[in-house]
Order: sequence, then C-alpha cells, then structure tokens
Amino acid sequence: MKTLRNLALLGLLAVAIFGGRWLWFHQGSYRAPAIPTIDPAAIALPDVVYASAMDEPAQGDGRVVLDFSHANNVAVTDLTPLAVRLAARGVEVVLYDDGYDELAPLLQSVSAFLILAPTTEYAPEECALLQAFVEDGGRLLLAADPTHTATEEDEDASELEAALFPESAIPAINSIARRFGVVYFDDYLYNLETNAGNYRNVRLTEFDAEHTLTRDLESVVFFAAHSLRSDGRALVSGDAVTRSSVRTGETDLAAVTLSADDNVLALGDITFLTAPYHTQADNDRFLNHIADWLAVDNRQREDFEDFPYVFKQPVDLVQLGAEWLDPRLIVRTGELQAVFEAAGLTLELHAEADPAHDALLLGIFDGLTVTHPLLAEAGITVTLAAPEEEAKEAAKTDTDAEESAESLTTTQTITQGMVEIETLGTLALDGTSLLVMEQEAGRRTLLVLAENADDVAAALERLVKRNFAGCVETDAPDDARRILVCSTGEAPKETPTPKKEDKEDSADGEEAKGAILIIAADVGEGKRTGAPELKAILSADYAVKLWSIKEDGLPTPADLADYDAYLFAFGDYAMTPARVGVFEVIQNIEEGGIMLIGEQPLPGSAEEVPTAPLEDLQVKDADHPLMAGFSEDDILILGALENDIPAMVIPEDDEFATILVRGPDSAEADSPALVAGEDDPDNRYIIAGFAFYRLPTVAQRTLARNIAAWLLNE
Amino acid sequence: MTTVSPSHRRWRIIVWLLVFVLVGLVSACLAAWLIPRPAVGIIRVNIDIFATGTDYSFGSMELFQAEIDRARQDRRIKAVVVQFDSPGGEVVASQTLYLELQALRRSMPVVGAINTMAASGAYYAAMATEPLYARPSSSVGNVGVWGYFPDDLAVNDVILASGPFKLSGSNRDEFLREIEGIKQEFIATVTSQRGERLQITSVDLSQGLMYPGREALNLGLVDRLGTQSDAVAEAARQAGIAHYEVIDLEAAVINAYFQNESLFLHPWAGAADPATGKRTVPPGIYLLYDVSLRGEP
Repeated sequence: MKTLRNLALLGLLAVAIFGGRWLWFHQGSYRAPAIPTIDPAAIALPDVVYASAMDEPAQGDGRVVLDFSHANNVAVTDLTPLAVRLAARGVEVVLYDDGYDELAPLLQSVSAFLILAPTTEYAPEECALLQAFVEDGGRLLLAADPTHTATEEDEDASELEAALFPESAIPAINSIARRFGVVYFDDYLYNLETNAGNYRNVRLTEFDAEHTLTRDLESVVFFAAHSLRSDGRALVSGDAVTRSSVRTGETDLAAVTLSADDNVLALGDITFLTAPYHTQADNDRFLNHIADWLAVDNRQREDFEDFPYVFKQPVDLVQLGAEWLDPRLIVRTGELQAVFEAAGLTLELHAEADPAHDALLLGIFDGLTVTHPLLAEAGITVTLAAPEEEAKEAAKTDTDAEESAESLTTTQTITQGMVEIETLGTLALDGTSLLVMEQEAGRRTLLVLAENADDVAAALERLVKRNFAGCVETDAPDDARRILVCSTGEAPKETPTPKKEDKEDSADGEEAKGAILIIAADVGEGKRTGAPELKAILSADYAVKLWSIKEDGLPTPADLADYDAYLFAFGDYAMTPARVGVFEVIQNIEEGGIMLIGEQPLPGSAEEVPTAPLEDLQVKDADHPLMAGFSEDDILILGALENDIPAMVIPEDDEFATILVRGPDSAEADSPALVAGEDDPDNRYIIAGFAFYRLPTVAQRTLARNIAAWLLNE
Repeated sequence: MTTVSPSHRRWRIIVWLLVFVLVGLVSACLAAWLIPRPAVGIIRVNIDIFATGTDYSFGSMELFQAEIDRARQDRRIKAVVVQFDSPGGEVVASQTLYLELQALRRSMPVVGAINTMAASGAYYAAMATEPLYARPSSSVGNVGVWGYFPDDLAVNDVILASGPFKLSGSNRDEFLREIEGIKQEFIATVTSQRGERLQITSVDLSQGLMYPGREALNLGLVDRLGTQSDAVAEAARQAGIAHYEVIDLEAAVINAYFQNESLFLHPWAGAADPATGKRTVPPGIYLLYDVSLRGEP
C-alpha cells in the first residue's frame, strides 16, 4: 500500500511540476481574429480615352513666330499638332532663334509670337519690343509648365537627378509675362478626387463661356500645370478641389488667362498641346480654338512706317501718268519685289491696278496724276503752275534714260505750283513729295507722288527703310486715309549723326531728334534702375546712350558734353554714400534738361526728404506737356517694387509744378510724386519719386516720350 | 507479518526520498523541455523592404521571411512584435511582408511598434499588426506609390514581338493605370484593416503625407502611443503568456545564417547614412540619397 501511495505521490509530484510550469507561463490562450478583406469594388482603374476633335479650319491670316531664342525646353516636333493646325489655316510658322538684333525687323512682319518653355530671361529691350508688338495688335502666346524646366548644365548629373533637382524656368517666363500683367507661380496644380488618372493630371471644367477660345468646352486635361494670375480674364480655371502645390488653401486657380485686350494668351501647361495628349477630353477642340486665335492678323498696320506690311493682298505696282515705263522704275521694282517677298507678299508691275488687289501707285506731279481721285478723297488739291500740255510735250521729247531724267527735271521746273491739304494748309509743290494711303473695302492703296522719278524713288527708299525724317504726317478727312508730306532730297542717306560721334544713334537709323544720356545709378543695394526701359522706348526717336555707373564709373564733365538731356535713373537703388558722387555729376551739367527718377531721396537730400510706401500715382496737371495723352485724375497703378524700399515724398516747392501726385492707395496721398520746373526752355528739370519700371507699360511709353519732348523743348 | 528493522526502514525512506527527488528533477527537466518558457519574438523591419538582393547582400524581404519562419518554428515564441523603422520599399516586397504577417496572425498575436518611421510600404506592412503603436513623433503614413515611366519601345526590323506591349510590358498610359491601381489597393488595405478607427478620408490619405505619431493616432492610423516594451506586453497579453522572454529574431536569424556577419544588414544606402547605415532623413526622400550616390549603395 505504501508503495502504491508513494507512486501516486510521485505522479502527483510530476503533475504538479508540469502543471505549475504551465500555469506559471500561460494565463490564457490566443484566438486568431477574423481578418477583414478588401472589397474588390474599391479598386477601379481609370480608362484613358483619346478622342480627336474634327478640325474645321477657316482661312486665316498672318505669320506666326515660334520663339526658340531663349534655350526653350521644347522640341519643334512636340508642337506638330499646333503647327499642323496653323498650316491648315494658311498661316506661315517661322522659327526664330537669332539674337536680339533680328527681333525688331521680324516683329514687323508677323501677327503672332509664340513663347513656349523659355529657360533664359528676356532682356528689357526684348520685352519693350514685344510690348510694342502687342500694343500694335500682335498676339502673344505664352506657355510654361513644371515639367519643362531649365536644362541641367551639370554633365555628370544623371537623368533622374536632373529630373528631381530641376532649375526652375519660372523666372524666364515671368521676365516676359509680367510685362503683360501675368504671373506664373512656381507650383503645380493637383486634384485628388476628379483627376484624369493621376493627381497631377487635372481635369479642368471651369471655363469662360463668353470667349470664343473656351465657350464650347466641357473639360480639358492639363498634365502638370502652373497656376497663373493675370490682370485680364481667367479662361480656364480649376474647381474647388483643384489645388496648388504651394498656394495652400486657394481654389478656383487659373490655368489659362487672356489679357484684357485679347492679345496675350497665357497657358499653364504645354503637354496638352503635344501628341497624344491633345486628344484627351476637349483638348483637341481647345487646340483648334487656339489655332483660330493665332490665325488672325490684328496688327494695326496703318502707319507708313509699317510698309510694306500695310498690304495684305497681292500688290500691283502701277506707274501713273506717263505713257512709257521709266527704266529706273523697273530697277526699283526688282528691289521692291525682294522687300515684299521677305514680307511674304507679292509685288507685280501692271499697267492698271486690279480692283481685287492692293495697289502701289507711283507718279510725278502732272496733269493726269494730280486729278487722281485718291487726292480729292484725301482733301488734297494740287495746282500746277504750267499748262499740262507743255509738261507732257517736254517729257515726250526725251527718249533715252538720261534725257528722260533731264526731261523730268524740266517737268520739275514747269510744275511749280501749290499743294493744298485741307487739314494742313498750302505747301509749295516744289521740293515736296506726297504719300497718300487709303483703305477701303479691305483694299489698300498707296499713292506716291513727287516732282520727278528720282524723288519718287527716294520716297520709296524712305518707305523701305522707314526713314521719315523731314516728313510730316497730317490728319486726313477720315480714318480710311493717311497723308504724309515729305521734303524731297533732304532725307538723310546715312545714319544721323548725334551731337558727339561716340553717342548712340536712334535705334532704327532715323535722324535723331536729339541726344539723350541715360545714366543708370546702379550703385549700392538695388535691383532695377529702369534705365534699359527708358532707352528701349526713346531709342526709336533719339540718339540715346546708356551709361552704367556700376560698369562705367561716374561720368566726367567730358562725358557729359553735348547732350540735350540727361536722365538719371535710380530705380529701386537705395540711398548709399556712393550716390553722393552722382550729385557732383549733376553739378557738372552746364546745359540741357535733367530728370532724376527713383524711389529713394535724391543725392544731397537724404536727411530732409521723408519716405513712405507708394502704390499708385494720380495725374494732377493734365494740361502740362508732360501729361500729353493722360487725363485729369488718371490713376496709374504701379507694379511691384523689386527692392522693397519706401519711396521719397517730394516736398512741395513753388519753383516746381506738381504734375503727378501720390495716388489714393499710397501713403501720403496727394503729395507730389513728379514735379517739373525750368530756368529757361533749354534748362528744364524733372524730379520723379518712383521707379520708372513700375509704371504700366503704356504709361511708360507715353511718359518717356513726353519727358524727352519737354526736356528737349520740342 | 514481517518485521522491518529500523535500519531497514530508514533506508527505505531514504530511497523513496531519492526517488522523489529524482522524479522531481526528471519531471522538472521534462517539463522544461515540454513546456518551454514562452517568448515574444521581435521582427525588426529597420531597412527598406526589397526582394532582390545583390552579389554581396540579400533582399531584406528574405531576412524578414526568415524571421517570420523562425517565429513559426520556435515553440517558445507565442507572439511577435514587429518593430518598424523603415521608409518602405518595393511594392511587391511590401505586399509580401503584409501577407506573411497576416498569415502569422492566424497562429499568434502580431503587434506593431513604430520607432522612427513606418512610411509607404512599411506602413502597408504595418496594416497586418494589431494593435499598432507609435511614438508621439514617429513618422507615419506616406501612403502611395511611385515609379519610373517605362520607355516606349519602337517597332523595328530587328525584333518581332507578338503584341504591342510584349517588349515593354506597358506604356505610359498603362503605367499610369498601374500606379493608380496600386494606390487604390494600398488605400483599400488601410481602410479595410483600420475600419471604423480611421478618421481620415481616402482622398486625404492619398496625398501621401507623413503624419507625426500623435496626429496619426487622432486620424486612426495607429492605435496607441507607446514604446516597443508596451507592444511586447500587449503581445504577451494577447497570447496569454507570462514570465516570458524576448527574442530578437533578426539577431537569431543572422547568427544562424551568417555567424553574426552584420555587414549584410547594411547594404542599403538609400535613406541611410552611407557610412554608418543610420537613417537620418524621412522616407520618400530616400530616393534623393540614392540619386546623390548615383544609385550606388
């Protein structure tokens, strides 16, 4: 029994040991939970649908320039869909990758200018030319997006590294866009809810239903797009769930804008223009509309300086009056044809003008030409001194070219008479050439009359070179006609010489109205002086030299000699001791108009002149010549100041007339902002308390010309 | 009736005592062998998650798989804590880790503990843990996926393929669909596993943001704020074990396979300092480190 008992105890011991160990370590058990599964319906992949829109091109007009002069990060082949549409509308596409010098003549000939993905900034001179182009009715297309960035210069960088660390192209596009009130933000648009397969492929459905560019669109898809801000209208915008990567919280962001004058279209995406992405949603339809918008030539080519672009149809060259063809005219015709061909026009010599064509009519004053109906319609009466029959007889007696010239000279001697222009008065016919341009029923006719064939040729030369020195354009009875009267034989054959040989000429080689020295006071802390803008505007009419104190040092008295006016542009450069030297420079100017323009107090007056933020200007004295083109109480909203410094408040002074005052949104409103005074008409002074570049574009051009005209006492 | 002498009786008692002691000792040994001290295993997801190894390393997923297998095979291990300190990694490797951890949960508790970060694929894998701990300032989330656009291969006179995508397997549009599909799969995984605890919409989740641990808690992306010790205690509680030990499965696997050649633990130079292997930047940015090293580890 004892043995059995002991064995039982042994068993209990073992169980106790096992059980105790188990209970020591285990206090419960694990029950595997039910693991939820995914609802397959939650996975719905997007379908990418491509659908081209039928293009129904109407015959368009004009020439379009594709700008490749700024290291543009886009290939010509990428733009094939747009180029094809332009070609279908009969619009010629010209690639431009030359330097600045070629830009001005190119802009003469084209109706639209396309800037896509530039990666280098536009110079102020280029901006000024493009501003003039747009003001003249030219159309400008701007496009940039975050995937077309500046190219990587580091050859060692991998493609991935270049993609992840791109150099932003925003400064490049904004260098030109801001001139037209457009700002590209360095961001991208995204939509997490109603996108086209990816957050950055935004489906845009908010359109300006009033504009032809967007009125019939329902949705377009942009593939990584910048958001824009514009002074004009937003044509395409994001909705409440389309957001910017940097503009936190903002919605209804614009991706396409159009300027108020309809001439500057800014696109926040380039990819949607390219294949195959132009065939998603209504992209293709939008592309068609853009092509339609570009295929319109709205350039206002009504001025003589727009020759030969005043013509839009084939041009018939007709010699009026004479029964024979002047051999010099044949020579001129060959030269003219080359000019016309370069402009995309045709010129052919005809006995009579085809009513369906434009016409260039040439003639000398004689009994037949002076009765041309174009003269009467323009309010011009020409009276010949000698009997018409005598003039014809004299001309017929000469047969060879030399003799013909003599006979024409004879004609000159006998056609002494008067030309009476209703809107101008009476001029002696002797020494006068007359140009009359008419546009009626879409047909343009240009009549050129002079005393003899050489003077007719000289008048043509003026047109080709756009050299109208010695000419005066006078009002016509109606808007359909323009009249230009020139003094014959006095048009300068060479570039006009400024007062000093080393001074610059007017930009287009015309005789300059005067010599102006623009001194950029670019010393110390600052961003822009505004001097390049002044030079770009004034160079068309004046011999302008730009002097940079930073690069050229302070000008000596010898450097200042013989100019008619001196413009000191301080811009947004802060007051520094270095500017004190500028004051001494001003003291060295003995004669000529002087303007000082800038935000900070003038040299020598730093302690006396208070400063305050300046946002706008208001016209105070609209009757002053400096305000020609402005109206009383006009408000000029100033652009952003690049170097944030408060502008000077000019103290009132009886010796100066207050022309512009600080606007209502500025501190110290109604205080003087531009004042002018004079010792005598040859020594006039202007002080302006703002940076010139902040002025609106149109105001820059008008005010700069007024300033020059007034300082030079024109 | 036999008479037992006192000396004999004494001996019998001694013998029985010896037998008791012997049986006790044998039982104790047997119990120790048959009922080992339970353990909580630690799986360390502390590098990026990738499947493909190189000539001198192996894919981290192989290591994680070995740790999971070890947890299954080791009778002592009754629960697992997955410690996350990873910026994520390859899609398929991350999904593999997620599915393997879900499978492990059928046999033992799997608790998650985010140390520095569980981003992208690491957060995807963390969806297989229950509950999920984080530190107040851990980086959590980064839901989404990225990839390189495939090249569009041209039709040529050298190679003849049977279908338009036979050579490339994809094109830009199909790749876009693929990326979107993976994103949706990721978000569906998060919403299904987090269930009603989730206080963030799928749209907001798809932004790919990383959230600090405390915000992640408020959004329902994690369950509790705490340390790895808290996670171990919770794992033991779920498993119903006490007086457990903690086993570092990574070290165990490394020791078993590579005789402690920890060199193999630091092949990755993505988010990590290339000199020390210590990660110093947030995930998503690890691509940039890779780029700065020209893709070299």
